[in-house]
This record gives sequence, C-alpha cells and structure tokens, in this order.
Amino acid sequence: MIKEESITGRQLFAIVVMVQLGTEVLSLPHVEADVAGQDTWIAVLLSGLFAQLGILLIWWLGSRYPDRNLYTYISTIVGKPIGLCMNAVFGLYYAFSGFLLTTNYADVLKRWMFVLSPWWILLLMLLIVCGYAATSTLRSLALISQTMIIVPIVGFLLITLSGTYGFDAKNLLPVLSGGWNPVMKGAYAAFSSYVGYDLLLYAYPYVRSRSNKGLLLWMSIANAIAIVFYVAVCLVCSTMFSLRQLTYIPEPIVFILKNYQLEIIQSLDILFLIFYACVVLSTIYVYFFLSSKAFMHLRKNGWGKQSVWVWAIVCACFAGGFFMTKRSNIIQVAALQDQASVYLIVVLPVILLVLSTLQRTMRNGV
Amino acid sequence: MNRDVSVDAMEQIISMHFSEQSDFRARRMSLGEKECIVCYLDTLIDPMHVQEYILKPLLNRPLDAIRQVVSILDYSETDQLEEAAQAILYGKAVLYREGESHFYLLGADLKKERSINIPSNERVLRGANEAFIENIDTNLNLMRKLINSTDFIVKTFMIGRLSKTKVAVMYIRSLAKPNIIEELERRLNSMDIDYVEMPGFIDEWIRESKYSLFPQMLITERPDRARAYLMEGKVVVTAAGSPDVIIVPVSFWSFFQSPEDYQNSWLLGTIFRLLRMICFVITIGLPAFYVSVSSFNPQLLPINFVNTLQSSLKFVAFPPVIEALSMMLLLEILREATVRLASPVGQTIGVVGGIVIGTVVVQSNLVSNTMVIVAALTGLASFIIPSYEMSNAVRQLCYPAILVSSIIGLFGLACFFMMLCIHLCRMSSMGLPYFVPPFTLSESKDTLIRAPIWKLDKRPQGTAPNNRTRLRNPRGWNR
Repeated sequence: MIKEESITGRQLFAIVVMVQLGTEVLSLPHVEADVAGQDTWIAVLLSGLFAQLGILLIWWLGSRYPDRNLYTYISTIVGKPIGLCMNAVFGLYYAFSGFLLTTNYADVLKRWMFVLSPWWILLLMLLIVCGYAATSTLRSLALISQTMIIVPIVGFLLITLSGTYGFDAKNLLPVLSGGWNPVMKGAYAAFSSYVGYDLLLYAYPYVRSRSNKGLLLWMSIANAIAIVFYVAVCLVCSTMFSLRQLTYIPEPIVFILKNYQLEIIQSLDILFLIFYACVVLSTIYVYFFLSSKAFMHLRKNGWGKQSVWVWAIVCACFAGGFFMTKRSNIIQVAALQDQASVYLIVVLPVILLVLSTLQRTMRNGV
Repeated sequence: MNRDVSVDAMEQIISMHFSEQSDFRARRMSLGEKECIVCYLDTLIDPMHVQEYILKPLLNRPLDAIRQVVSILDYSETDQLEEAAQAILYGKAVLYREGESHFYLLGADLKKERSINIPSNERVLRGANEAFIENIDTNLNLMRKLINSTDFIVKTFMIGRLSKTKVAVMYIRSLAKPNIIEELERRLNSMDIDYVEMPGFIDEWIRESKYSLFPQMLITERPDRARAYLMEGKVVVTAAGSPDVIIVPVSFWSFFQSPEDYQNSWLLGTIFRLLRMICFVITIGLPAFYVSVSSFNPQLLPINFVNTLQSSLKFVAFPPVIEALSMMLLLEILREATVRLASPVGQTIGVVGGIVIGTVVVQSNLVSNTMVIVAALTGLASFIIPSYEMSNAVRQLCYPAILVSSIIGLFGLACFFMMLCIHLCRMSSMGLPYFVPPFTLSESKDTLIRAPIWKLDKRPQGTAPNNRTRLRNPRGWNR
C-alpha cells in the first residue's frame, strides 16, 4: 500500500467539517426554495440525518478493513478488473466534483464582484491554490483545514448575527403544507451539500484514534456541525425573505450581508465572499487529493507521482473551465453530479458491504 | 611505531609535515642520557605554559616517567604520527623521547578570546545579559553552568575536511526524542565540506524545505534562550568560531517567542505575543491591502475614508502598485544601508530617510500620503518580530502579495494568504510539523498566547513525547 502519514481524530474532524461546508452555504436556500418551500430547514435537517446514516455505513465498511483504504480493498471485494475500473471512476468523480465547485465559485465571484475582470484569472487562481495544497500529504491537508476552520466560525457568527434583525418568523409557516413529498425531494437536493464525509472511505486506516467508536464520534460531531451550519443558514434566509424573493435571489446570504454596514467596513458581503474562498478551497483541494490518490491506486505500488496527477487534473479543469462559462451549464451539470454522488457514496458502499458480508459468510461456511 | 627511531630521524619525519611552516619549532634537549624533542607551532601555544609546566619540570626530574613529571591536565599519548601532527595543529606541544614508541601530546594552547558581552542582536529589558562568544569551549561552559545535570549531554563532532571545526550537539537525555537526535547526528555526519560557516552552512545542510523563505532553525546568541528550548526536549547545535547557536526542531511559533515573555506577567506576555502575530499579518498584508483597496475595492471602506484616500491619490502620477512596490523597495534599501553603514554615519540615514523620503516625496506628488504611512507601518511592524531571520523573510513576502493584489484585488490577497498557510503546513522540521495551528487550548498554550507558568504543566508532545510532565503540584501552597 502507498504510504501515508496518520492523523488524529481531531484533525479528521476539522478536515471533514471543511469539506462538508462548501458553496452550498451560499446557494442552498435558493435551490431549496423551489423544491421544499418554507420547509427548507426541515429538508436540510433530514438530509443531514441521512448523511449521518451514510457515515455509519462507511464507518461500518471501513471497520471491516481497518488497515486498508477503499482504493485497495475494493479490488478484494469485487475482483481486480472491476475494482480498478471503480478506482478510475472515483478518480474521475472527485476530479469532476472539484472542477464543478471551482467553476461554481468562480461564477459566484464573477457575478458579485468581478464583473469586468477576465473570468479565467479567477479560475486559475483558485486552481493553483488547490493544486498546491492537493500535492501534500493527508496530514498537511488536515493542518491546513485546522487553520482555515476559523473562517467558517467567523462566517457563522456573521450569518446568525445578521439574521437577528428584521426577520419574520411567519415566513416559516405553515409547516409541512405540501405534505412530506416536497420535503423529501428537498432532502435529496440538499444531500449534495453534505457530501464530503466520504473522505472517510480513504482516510479510515490513517486515523489514530483511541477506538473505532471515537472515530465515529468525531465524524458525527463534524456532521452535526455541518447540519447546524446549514440549518441556521436556511432559517436565516427563509425568515428574512419571502418564498418568492428567495426564488429570485441566487445567493441570499450575500444579499443579507450587503444590508449591514459597520463604521470601519462598509460592505461585509465583499469580505465574506472573499474569505469564503478559504472554505470552498478546503473542499476542492481534498477532492483533488482524493482524485489523485484514486488514480495512483490503479497500480499496486503507486502509479506515477501524486503531484503529477494533481497538476494534470488542474490543467484539465482549467481547460474544461472554458466550456462551462454559462451559469445554466453549471446548474445542468451539477444535477448530474448530484446523482453520481448518490450512486458512488451511498449505493456503492451498500453493495460493497453486502458483498463483503457474503464473502465472509461463504468463507466461514466452507 | 618503532622503538629505535633516533631523535634526529624523528625530527626529520615531523619536519617533513611542517617544512614550509615558518612558525614551526622543534626544540631538542637532553634529559639525563636520552635525547628529547618538543615540537609545536609557536603561534598556537602559550610559551609561558610550555616553559613553566613542561620544560621546567622535565629538566628538574629528567629520569622519571613523563606522565608523572609534566603538570599538564590535557595529557595524552599516541603512537600515530598523523595524530601527532594533527595535535600540533590544535595547539599542543608534542614530545618525543628517544627509545620510546609513542608521542606525548601536551595541551598548552594559547586561548585568545573576547570576553563575554551583552547580547547585541536580541536585546531584552529584563533577563540575563550574557551572550555566546566565538570560543566553543566558553559557550559550552556557559551552558553547563546553566544546567547542572548529568542528563545534559554534550556530544562533539569534527566537521570540515580542511578546517576540522569542532561542532557540539547539546540535549537533555531524559527529555529529547531519540529519533530526533539520531536523525540530526545522521545529517551532521553526512556533511562533507571544506569548512563550516556557522550557522549558515549547517542550517542549509540539514534543513528540510530547501526552497522555503522561512527560517527553519532558530538562531540565538542567548544562553538562557538555548536553555529554555533544551528544557522542551529540543537540540542545540553550536560550532567553533560562531557566537550563534542553532536550535532544532522548531515550529513557526518559536520565532515569535521572546525570552522576555516569561519575565513579564503572563497577561503582558500574551498581549505582546498577539501583537507580534498582528504585526506578522500587517507586514505581509498591509501594502497589498492598500493596493487592492485603492485600485479594486474602494467600496469596502467607509465613504469618508475613501474620499480622503482618493484626494491624496488625486495628483499622484503612478498607479498604487508602483507606489507600493517603490516604497517597500525604498524601505529595504534604507534597512540595508543602516546595517552596512559605519555607526557614526548612521545618523545620516535618519535624516535622508525621514526628511527626504517622508516629506519631499509626498510634496512632489510622487507618492501619496497614505502610502508613506503604510510603508512606515509595515517597516516598523516587521521589526517587531523577535527573530531577525523571520523578520526578513516576512518582509520579502509583501512583494508577491502586492503583485497578486494588483492583479485581482482583495481576492488575490486572500488567495495569497491561503497559499502561505498551505506552504507553512507542508513544511516540517526534523520530521515534525513546522506549523501546527492553535486548534485546541493545549496547543495554543505557549504558541499564540503565553499561558501562566503554572498552566504550562506539559512539555510539547512533538519534541518530548516520553517525559511530558514539566511541573508537579502547581501552586500547591495555595490549596
């Protein structure tokens, strides 16, 4: 197996929180307004609980192979040819997720701040930072995430404080007016914002934790924090805006912050958007990292160098960026990616778990 | 070595090694029946020593064994000619008596050293006022006097093909992590080099990130500071001929610690330390912030301030990025000039820097008022950082920051800080992470803040993993 430095449970927590929080904080209330209406927050909460189930699933799968990562044990479960194919699929999936996030955030930045600046410079900057980070080890990534965690903390305070003035709780009523159906649909739409806990598929063997359960605990805390963050954002947005307004504003949080002025800083929204880059970038570099690792695991003793893979992915993303200049394109492709993540992160682990259980019982039976 | 080499033959053999040396002396004399020869370099030995403690006793008691006659503490014997020749180079007098199979190496070297001065580069108001000097033995003596324990280990190495410089590694056996000591010794032993310039050569030879701007060893001239780090399980390396010692492994935070933090009350220490961190950010970011605010995001600041800023920029011919780059360059020129200039002329710099640049540049509309303030603040902030190496490195970082923010404003600055953070997180020092964010309270105890002494009950996990309890029963009298 390819060597990797171990991380602590606390570091795992930081890295997972940072991966789970992404551009969705900005866009989730808008997306959900079309689907779940005023019950957005219930849908987001539910979705977080599903994610918790997903974590349990992956943890269970990981604890069967405590000293190997997904990319190595997948071949022992489904056989070498399919396993290698799956590795390549994972590599493509993560590279694509990172690409999508980058273009998405570059698009947000362009619309809010850099209307006149050439758009590819934004993309290039984001990609260079991510590429540089993704070439490091898992432990370095954890250290970076631990440092960056200050940004979402400040962001959370800003968001909740800005929601205390001028809200209207009546916007949340009536609860469950359309029954559970729109809520469930909303939960599906919100699931992609919780994606990121799948890091555990790779990181499981490298976490130095006192026990197996401690690891699950850290993952659950990270997920809980993501739930709190998203639910707070949705509550703030749905109470500040009416449903109709929300369907028109793509990034309501920025809109709310624009409203506030301090004595020394006139526009909080700009600062927020800029420093939110740290949160988004911490998601993207983990994806690029996972992608490069997946490609490296195509051969037993490592295929190529990590840095080469990462920079290849970065170049591909930059080139691909020129085909994704329209917002409508990004939204279309994002729907595709949502489906892919459900298949790869929920359905596939279930299949693997079932198969590995079958294999064990067969072996024990014989 | 043969027994029956005559003194004449021996004189020839030794002289062959030193035939071209004008300061080589070989003195022959007769002790009883036997001929004797003393060889030395007279620029290296103390003549008084040789006369009083070697020659005089020998002439008085010619027949006794030499070991019992000479009153020299640094006494050894060898039968290797090479070793004897080397000993002469170290300032020993080599004695050979006819009919014997070995040389006597008698230490009589002349010690020329300056006295111990007050530290000139790392001043503190409170605390010890001793600094290391160029003589390694004196330095070791200073350290030994500060730590009176058998656990305090000093290991010496010879490094340098030609210079054969003595390099000493100091650590505390019960604290230091054995892996780190082993690794350091391995790296030091791998040094195959003509001579050792301390600390530069050793630093560059054993550091991990070759291309990083950030210092990866702490360089200090203060024995008390060296002791403080030894007590955390770190290793101190010193070499002959240098008044600086280096400390490994270090973390990013070490460069923001000053010995004075521990002399003041802990609250003051914490405040000063936070001040240094703020200055770190100011040094890197302030000029870049100025550039991005004045050319990209003026809407970030309140309207009144923007008006003031714009009015000062109104008649300035150059874009803000040129302003910022030129002022920062000017600052660097002033700094370099102050270091190089002889001290009586140093006053001139104040006049030139203060009056010409401060006033005239603004009056002639070359640079805006605000930029002068920014440049001055940046320069001052960079000198707050206690480590000279770190302060220099940080000041250079403002140039890329200015360039990036001139391309894409504050967003570029944010990306630059992110890059910086990634770079720091990727670095390591002797296998330990260089930058560990103060994520938990225990990690921030002696990094971001200076916790009270009675709270610093554990040594750092990285460097002293096996023996972590630093103090027992903190403030036990108060229970």
